Amino acid sequence: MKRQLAVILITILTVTINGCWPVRVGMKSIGESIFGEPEKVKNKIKDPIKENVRLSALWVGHSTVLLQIEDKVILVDPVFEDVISGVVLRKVEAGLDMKNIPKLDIVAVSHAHMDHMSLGSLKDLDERFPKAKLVIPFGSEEYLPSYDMDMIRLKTANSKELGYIGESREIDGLKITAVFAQHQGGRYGMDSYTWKVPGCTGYIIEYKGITVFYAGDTTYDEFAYKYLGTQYKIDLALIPVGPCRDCETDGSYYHVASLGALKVFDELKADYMIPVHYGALEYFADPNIPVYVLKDLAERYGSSSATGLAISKPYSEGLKILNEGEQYIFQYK
Amino acid sequence: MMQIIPSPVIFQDSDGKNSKVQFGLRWQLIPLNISFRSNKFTTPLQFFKINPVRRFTGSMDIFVQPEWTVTGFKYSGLSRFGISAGSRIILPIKGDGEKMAFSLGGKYTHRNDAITGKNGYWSAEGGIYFLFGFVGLQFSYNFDERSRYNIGFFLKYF
Repeated sequence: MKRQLAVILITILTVTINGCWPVRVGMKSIGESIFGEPEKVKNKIKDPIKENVRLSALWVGHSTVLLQIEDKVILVDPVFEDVISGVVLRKVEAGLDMKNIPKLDIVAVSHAHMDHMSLGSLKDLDERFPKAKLVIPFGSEEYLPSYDMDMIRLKTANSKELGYIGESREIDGLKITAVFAQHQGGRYGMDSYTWKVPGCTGYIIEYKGITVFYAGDTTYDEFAYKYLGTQYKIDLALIPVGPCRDCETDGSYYHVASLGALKVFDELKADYMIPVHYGALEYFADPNIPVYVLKDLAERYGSSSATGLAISKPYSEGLKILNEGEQYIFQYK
Repeated sequence: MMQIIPSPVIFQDSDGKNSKVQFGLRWQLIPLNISFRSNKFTTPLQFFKINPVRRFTGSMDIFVQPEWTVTGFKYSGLSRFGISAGSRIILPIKGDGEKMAFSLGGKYTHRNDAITGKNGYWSAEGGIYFLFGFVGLQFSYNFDERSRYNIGFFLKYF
């Protein structure tokens, strides 16, 4: 009798587990993260920091971007590992080897989610660049240990009432300001709700007449980006696309899809946009779908405003879609 | 609140001639954790509500572990309920402790033994933790031949 019960129980469990989509996806991810390898990036840049550059951006992958503004080097949301969040194998490896970064002044982390903040990568950076400054939003300190890097915590302003522009800090002539982002703090899932820790931001980085905006993770807001566009003359905007297909209407209040990203770009009145937050994680069958859509939108709506997307100029020229490991050097007269 | 979720444990149950494993539950309470790597904005001392980053990047626990042996001890005469108290240090191995960390420590378990009349034993314990400290394994070597080994899962969700 006991044996029969055990067989029935095991059968039910097997069928249930195999039929459960999250379990299947979870087991697939764990298997891939242990035994798999991400797609390799060919011809990685070995000298990302160059002489006589006013502004350059190297997309490492997902939301990690290495910026050079004159003699300053800034890394946003550094995640270099093949496995993100412990069990998710990235589709394409990080497009830059950390050892090829010759200097680093600032590491700016937008929030504590695992695809934006990796303790392993931060530890490696801390060992290589102990004199760099680590800039975080208020609340993210809960998810970080101590480092040799000096930690700078900025209060952001994630609402109209707070004015969209938060605290600034000047670091050796470079000014970094925490600005609006509509997203979540937290790291593990439920802690976003149970710990009630704030901690997500965008950044404005200003140095020697160049202004770069990094949106972090955010949703579209009809007032915030227009306002930021009136306050700053932004040369380059790093704006996430995805992971949702239609974040603006499907109830995903924490992300922005391709159309929303284009609206953010338009309202910021930035000269250039580099899309981020795609490619590494399997949100879609093809993780590059958000940029195909973005490109299509930019071309289709380029210089007309016929379809509800109110635009002020053609997007195609300003939109720079990079491959992992690709660097764009902006030309200034 | 998440500390009230117990972790499964396997206990050795022996009378010297016969030996069996018994299944039990253990509650992982940490009244005090002292972090070695709290940053300038956070406190190194934590009480019950323990931040995993401060714990797994390097810290010391003072812990209390009530244990309930669901299947009971058949040979050793040990009581179903026991309570341990002890201390362990936790150090990171990989990913600054988020991917892998380990612990070493010692504890005293109060558990009545109906056969020998003893009411407790000392243990050395070690653990290994994965995935931000959500899961782990803890091993105890008990200085009591009637239940020499325990192997327990460590389950936490934050």
